[in-house]
Amino acid sequence: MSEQLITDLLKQVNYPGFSRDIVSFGLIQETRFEDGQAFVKVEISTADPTLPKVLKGEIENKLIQEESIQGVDIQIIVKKPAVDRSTNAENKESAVLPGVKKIVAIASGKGGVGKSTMAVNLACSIEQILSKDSSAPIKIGLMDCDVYGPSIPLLIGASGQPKALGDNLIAPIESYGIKVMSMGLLVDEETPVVWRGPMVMKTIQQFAANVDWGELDLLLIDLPPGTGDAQLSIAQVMPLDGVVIITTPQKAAVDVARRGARMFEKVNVPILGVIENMSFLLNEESKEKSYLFGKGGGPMTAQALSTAFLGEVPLHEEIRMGGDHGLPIVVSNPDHFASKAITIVAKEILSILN
Amino acid sequence: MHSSPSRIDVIGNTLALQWPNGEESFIEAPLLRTQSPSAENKGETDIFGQVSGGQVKTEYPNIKIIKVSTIGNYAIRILFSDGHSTGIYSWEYLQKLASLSHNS
Repeated sequence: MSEQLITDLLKQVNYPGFSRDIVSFGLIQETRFEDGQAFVKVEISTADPTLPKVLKGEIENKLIQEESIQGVDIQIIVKKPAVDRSTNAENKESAVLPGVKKIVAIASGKGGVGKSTMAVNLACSIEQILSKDSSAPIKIGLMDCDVYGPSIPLLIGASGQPKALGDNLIAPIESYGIKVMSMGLLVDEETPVVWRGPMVMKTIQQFAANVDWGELDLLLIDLPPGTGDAQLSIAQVMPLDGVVIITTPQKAAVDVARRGARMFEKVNVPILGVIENMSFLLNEESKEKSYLFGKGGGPMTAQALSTAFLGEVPLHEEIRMGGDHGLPIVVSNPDHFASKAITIVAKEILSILN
Repeated sequence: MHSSPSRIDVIGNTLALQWPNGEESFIEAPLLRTQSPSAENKGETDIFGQVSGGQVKTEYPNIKIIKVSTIGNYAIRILFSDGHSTGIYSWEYLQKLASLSHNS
């Protein structure tokens, strides 16, 4: 009987929850065997209060089985874990935005496909849909991550300086019940934001951590086009529940939309689906549709990405006017056929999210 | 989509991961440090494919994992005892490293 035997026995004890033994993990600090008394010193780092006890019990049971061992003395040293509490995969609650139930980003490859206009209308439309079925008040947030060219404040009619709530917290501005934060609320219209990438990252981190979003049923994130600093920062800073890809029908948009979407695959963000914007222009007298940008680009993109096609939204003057006046069409004219098209998309997104 | 691990732990000086399919990956700190995907470690590639920068040192026998934090849905960042912390290890990359460590 020797210390070697003790080590051999310890090799049969697995670390709780894993199939590798505690000797292979290098957790054994010391083993001694004197006069039938086994002494084992183990060092672990964990935040789980039950784990040391479980491990101790398993070691004891293993050693006691050996006849020549009359007594066991097991010392377990517990150190602070290296893994962040928020890293615990079972704990789905995000440490970044604890009050936010779902976070969805709105992205495209090409610019000018109507992401921000769609984001504003979707936010309002989703608020309307959820409010209908809920007795509790519904809260939707809209974070404008286009720090170089913020247009959300104009499109949703949000203005005014966000109020400071203490040293490190500012309040979003509310418009049509949507909580909005945008670079456009923080600098005046004539001031260009001339920044390198790291500042974009910093701003987005602060939009997440230093804005008082409170309890939200959904936070929509309007991204700039492409796959740059803003997109990467969002994917790193918060656990996104999904991304919606917007494209117009023509090849120049569709090809880059796929590239933009692939980025989210890489960072493990589910692609909820594809919206085709500016699908057609309707002549309201003849009811004839003109497909200015071609046909079928949206469904094709969805198919290429193996994701859902969420719907088509027409090109319409009233959508643009709504934007110019800060009065989204789904609010000003919910029965308009363009509003209905947006509502269909909003419903699709909600059903996929659930 | 690469599924996220259901459990992330540092046991001793080993990064231990459990995947939703029940599989496990164990990667020792020295290998993680040597294979850090950071440009600080691996250098940067220009448009001609030429690599500049990076670290010459390739052996870190005594390196320790100090801290692990998650990055979005897809990766972890590891702080090592030598202060290196810019490596972002995606789930995919960790599985690759785990298979490396099995073969060695």
